[in-house]
Amino acid sequence: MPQDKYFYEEYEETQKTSSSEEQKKPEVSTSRSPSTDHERGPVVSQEYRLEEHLYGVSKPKRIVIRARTIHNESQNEELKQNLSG
Amino acid sequence: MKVRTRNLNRISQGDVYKEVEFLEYIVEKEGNIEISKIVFPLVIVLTQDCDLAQDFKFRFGRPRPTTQDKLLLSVLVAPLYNVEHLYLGEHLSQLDIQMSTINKGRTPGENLRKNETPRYHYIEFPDDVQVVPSVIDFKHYFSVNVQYLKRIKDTHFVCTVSPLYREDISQRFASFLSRIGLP
Repeated sequence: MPQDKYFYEEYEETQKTSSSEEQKKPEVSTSRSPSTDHERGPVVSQEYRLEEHLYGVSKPKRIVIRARTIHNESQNEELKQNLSG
Repeated sequence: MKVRTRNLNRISQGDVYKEVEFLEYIVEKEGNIEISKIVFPLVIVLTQDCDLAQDFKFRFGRPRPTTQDKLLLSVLVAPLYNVEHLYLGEHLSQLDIQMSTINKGRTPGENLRKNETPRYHYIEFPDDVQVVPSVIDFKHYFSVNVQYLKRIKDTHFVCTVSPLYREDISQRFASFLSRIGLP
């Protein structure tokens, strides 16, 4: 017997961010400490460190997806035919 | 700390991946589905490397083993947080979770950087790996589906912590998990 399936009629993706969070300016330095850089040798420029592709600058975020399941009408007809036939 | 930036075929202990999803819940009621997930910017793999190697062998090896005895259901990972966010207690602010602050310039901050705080493991990556100084939070470990991680592996791989350092992380994690709180 065919199984009922879910069909996503609506798709919504929301990201919860508090309004206070949005208003804050980035408060985090992405540079290494001077002493550490000195120990490592060449100091990497601040501009390089602030490039967007630098990993670990962002924070964990929650994503909520809401969807509605609907019955596929054509599948219903097929199911009825199978049961009667 | 030493790392390897070459991406191997299989998931390895000490692998660092970016943008890994943690499924919080799925609710289905009267035809409405709600899925909530948390996207972690960086995670590190904590599962034993031999378990990961055997899983890979049993999953993809030829000839195919007669059983699936060594397959893993999930991979254990822990999130990496930007240490500067951690000092401010703001690293989970987008999840509406306020954490304690850690005084960067005083003993708590120094202990954190010296890895003397059992809950945390501080990591500074080499300059060729573009990751800010970060902290593993052992309390926030979670599991990720093996097939999901394998699927995103190539695009989300950042680096692998070299064996000596990963064993140190693993040993400290095991020690944290098996701690006994005496009265």
